[in-house]
Amino acid sequence: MLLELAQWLAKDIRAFNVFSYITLRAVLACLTALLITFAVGPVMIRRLTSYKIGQTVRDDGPQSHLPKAGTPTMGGALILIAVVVTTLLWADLKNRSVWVVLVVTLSFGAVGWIDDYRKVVRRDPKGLSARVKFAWQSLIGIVAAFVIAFSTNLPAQTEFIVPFFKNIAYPLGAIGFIVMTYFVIVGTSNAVNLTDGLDGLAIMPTVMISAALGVFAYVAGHAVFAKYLGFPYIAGAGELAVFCGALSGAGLAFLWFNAYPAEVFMGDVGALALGAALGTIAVIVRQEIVLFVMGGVFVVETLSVMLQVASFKLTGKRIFRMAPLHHHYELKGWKENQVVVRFWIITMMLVLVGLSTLKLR
Amino acid sequence: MQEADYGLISAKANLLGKLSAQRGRSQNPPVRFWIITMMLVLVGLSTLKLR
Repeated sequence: MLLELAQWLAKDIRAFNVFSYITLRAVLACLTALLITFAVGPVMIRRLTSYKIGQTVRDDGPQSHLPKAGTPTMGGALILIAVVVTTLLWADLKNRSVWVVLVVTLSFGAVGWIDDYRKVVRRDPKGLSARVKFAWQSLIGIVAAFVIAFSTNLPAQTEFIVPFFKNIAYPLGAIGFIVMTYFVIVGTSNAVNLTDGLDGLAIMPTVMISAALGVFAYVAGHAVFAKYLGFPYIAGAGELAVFCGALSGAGLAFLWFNAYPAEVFMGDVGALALGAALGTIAVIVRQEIVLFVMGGVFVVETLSVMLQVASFKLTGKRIFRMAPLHHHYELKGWKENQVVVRFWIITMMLVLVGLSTLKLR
Repeated sequence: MQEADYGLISAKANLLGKLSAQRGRSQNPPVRFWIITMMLVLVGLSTLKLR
């Protein structure tokens, strides 16, 4: 909205042309989302507390988590409000990619919200059944995959790009692209949800990965940079940098309230939505493998659950003391803060590796 | 001497903790200082374009 206003004002005052630069709008989106989250956060936490929307803590989890019971949850709605308002303010609203990412994020958020609402407000411990939740995620993922697949106008935009190798790109075709998009969006959404088990553990990697994806979006959407760095040029993808800026800002401000000891948890409404947003952006900018690398913590957390379940079903033995992996380290004696900050450090390293693929190819 | 210093520091920390608890806030300053630094870095980066 502000872009249109700036363009209108720029007819008389040329200084307003500065707002047409994506880089500046991305930074301003980040700051705007930060301020919105800081402003709305305390109000929302008070509301959630007064409505007694508190987290229930599983009694089969680590004992150290029992004091967390009653901490307000569904704080992810705060992130979503900040991201949506900021994106509507700073992004080019004629851009289709921005709308696709916004709608996917909000749709996954809605699924998470229903699940949280049933669990926390209606006190139904089952919430949304795993099967129903997965069915909704799949439906949204498939629709998003179709929309993205039929928005592409060049074969290069549906190629599977292998980082570090300039000349290796596999043409996926429409069906292959849709299947892969579905797996990336739904997989990332669930991976972030599984990781969201300690204070600040899921949000900080989301912030870092989102910022890095913003760089990839900017490069992919810039004809000169894309050609220079050997990326496929994706018209309009640059505008996603504004969304990524908003997501990073909102996430960072949310961390203010979510840092140990957390005043609020994001809940499924936040975790599912943030994961889906990262997955959708990665697919649009053709950087699925880079997302896989940068989101290594999410990947390993998910694998730990899969391996634990498979091992217990097949052999009756557990591989980890507890899954997801962060609980394993807690039970090994690491403090919650140590697990969280160490996983952040690992993510920072992985994001750097991901960013190095900009040039190393 | 060292012990006395440590005592001072912990007394300060206790006071800060009590103050923040009285105001209904949790004690998580390190991460909040990091966030403030990140915001300032962002403002610094925006000067790349805003000039």
